[in-house]
Amino acid sequence: MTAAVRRRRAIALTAALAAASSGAWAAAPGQGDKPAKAGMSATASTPVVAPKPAVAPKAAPALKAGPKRAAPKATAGPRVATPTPGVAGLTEPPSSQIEPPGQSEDKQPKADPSGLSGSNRPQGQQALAVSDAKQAGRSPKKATRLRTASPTATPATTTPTAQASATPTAAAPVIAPVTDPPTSASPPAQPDPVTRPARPGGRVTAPTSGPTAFGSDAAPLALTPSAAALTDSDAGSATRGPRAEQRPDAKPAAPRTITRTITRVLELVPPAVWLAIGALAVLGIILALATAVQTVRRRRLEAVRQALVADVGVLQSVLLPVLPGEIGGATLTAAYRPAEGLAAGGDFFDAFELYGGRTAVIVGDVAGHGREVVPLTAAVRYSLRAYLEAGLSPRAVLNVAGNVLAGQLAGRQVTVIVAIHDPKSGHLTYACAGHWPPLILGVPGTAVTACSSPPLGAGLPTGRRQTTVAMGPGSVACFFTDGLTDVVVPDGRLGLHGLRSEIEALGPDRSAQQILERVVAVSEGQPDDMAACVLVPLAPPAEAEPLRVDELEVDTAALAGSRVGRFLRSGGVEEADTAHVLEQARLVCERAGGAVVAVRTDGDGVTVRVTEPVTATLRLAARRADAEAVAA
Amino acid sequence: MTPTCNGTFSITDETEPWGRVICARGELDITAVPELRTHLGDALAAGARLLLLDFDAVTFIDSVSLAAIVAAERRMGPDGRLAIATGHPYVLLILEAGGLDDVIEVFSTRDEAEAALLE
Repeated sequence: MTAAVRRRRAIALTAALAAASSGAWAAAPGQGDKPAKAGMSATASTPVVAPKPAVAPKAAPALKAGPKRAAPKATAGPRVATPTPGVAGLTEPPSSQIEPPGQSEDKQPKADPSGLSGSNRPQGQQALAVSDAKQAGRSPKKATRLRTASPTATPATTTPTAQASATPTAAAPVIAPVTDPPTSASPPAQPDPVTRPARPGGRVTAPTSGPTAFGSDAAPLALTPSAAALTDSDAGSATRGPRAEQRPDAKPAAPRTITRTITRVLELVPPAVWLAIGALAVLGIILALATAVQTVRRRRLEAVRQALVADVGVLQSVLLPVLPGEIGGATLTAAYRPAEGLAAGGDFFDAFELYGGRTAVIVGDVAGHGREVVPLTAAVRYSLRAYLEAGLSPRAVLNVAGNVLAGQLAGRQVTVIVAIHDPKSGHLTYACAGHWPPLILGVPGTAVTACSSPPLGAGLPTGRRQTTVAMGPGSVACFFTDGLTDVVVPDGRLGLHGLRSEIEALGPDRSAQQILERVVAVSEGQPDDMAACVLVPLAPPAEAEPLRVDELEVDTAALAGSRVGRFLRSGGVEEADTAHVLEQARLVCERAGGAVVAVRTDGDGVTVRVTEPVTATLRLAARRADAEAVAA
Repeated sequence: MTPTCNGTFSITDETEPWGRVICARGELDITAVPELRTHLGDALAAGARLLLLDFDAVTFIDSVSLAAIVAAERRMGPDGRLAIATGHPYVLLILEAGGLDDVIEVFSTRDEAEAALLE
């Protein structure tokens, strides 16, 4: 029994709490019942407003005003009084509530909320739930009791309020607290008055107007309290709601909450951000793949590069042999410098000893760079070497080579110089094909460039010119490719004269390597390969007198032009003698098919000699090749 | 009658009543060769029988450029004429030492070259 009372009190407390929080009911605890009645009657009198919860605020101020004034009691009182006797069934709940005010101020609110909650079904449920929550928050024991009590109470209440609550349906649990008292009605004095009237009222009104009474009266009642309950529930949920949630959650442990928060956070991420994250992820993957591919490629390229370096080394050794310091009766140095990087260019040189201690030198340049010229360069180099070793003069070598190699060169031009140094005579004999003549230091005079022969592979007869120079003590012959003269210098290109100046500036002990280094030092750019050979006679004959012989092989067609005359003049032949020389040459050509005009300059002056070409076989080969070239 | 070449380095075409003129200026090295080849090829494709290379403003010719010029002269055949007009001593030296003054007529000025070609 006591337990029942406690329960009832607990319920009443929760209801009071709910009401107190609203402010309307707690405002006049002392005069409690009257204002309450006034409020109730007021609400009852305005049933139209009642059902709408939105009107609740309006009613609330009316209630507030009520308690403050003493007068409203009188007005409110009679109104309530009349309904009770007149419409017993209708005013039953109010009348029952009127009684308690006198007894206890607390209980009125208690009873009211219960009725309120009952009237406003969903809201009332909320209010109850809130009160439960409140109690749960405050004292777990009470909360558990209530929870257990309410289910048990509901079946109990079904009998008394069955008629009343049966129709409202959802009201059943809500009414529970109200109907709870009947079970525990007898023991406490206070509850009894409250519950007793409720019971009979419930019984009496139940069949006829029970539901309607509850519906009409309770509904208006529900307005303010429900509003209060609502506000309370809002406030409660704000403050205590979380607590109630935490408890059940506290049992499982933290990970769940973490995962929950993570999922919540993830839910909050907008799709645009998801897209951005996805794009970044894809980008990252692409970049990672790209770097991986790059790394693999770099390693592969490095391997290829090393292989190429090895290959180029082999190729360059074919084109650019390592020369022994002394060849025959001369010291020879050679050097090569590619235009760029690993490119095995078209420059080549060779030097070797010929019969009689003579030294042969070849320096050439196949037009173009790269691998495709390497086979041609090798072919040219070994062809020239073969002709030299066969005993041909430099001019003859170029003449034959120009004819023989024309097909292989396929239009690619090769400039080359071929030279033979005879240590016994101290004479250096050389022939050029579209190539710079050597720079011979320590020898008076300069090279005659008139009527120079065109390059190999140009489709033109070549190997027509040859020069012999006596190299005395201190003389040096420098053979080089146009890479040296074509280097870029501040005022243009180094040029032939500039190169000569640089070589002379080096002093007596000049090697090919030193020359290249010097040229590189003074230049701003090296657009072409550079190759150089330096020949220094070991034991030049001291008694050798200065000598220079320029030879030009001519044919009838050449004599018709002005070139031979120019050649003679540049060699120092007097104008008056030129016509005679040309006539001589014409005669020889008619007889032998060709003629060699040689201008000799020595201590005795300039002498000209016209002779027949050296060998019949060479002449035949040259003629055939010339005929083919003209036909082409 | 003697339009001059303009620009720091350039190769231009001029079509005269008697033939074609390729006017170059600057240094004819391996970087200029492709352009030179293009102009020479255009002139040959146009069927020019007289081709004058006005190199009066050319200060340098390398072996590759010379090879291109010689190749053009070879393609013109026996009835074609290719002349170079240049007064630059180093260019003249290059042409002479290259042994090309035999197949390519060299004149000191453009007027002189034109007069010779129109004979």
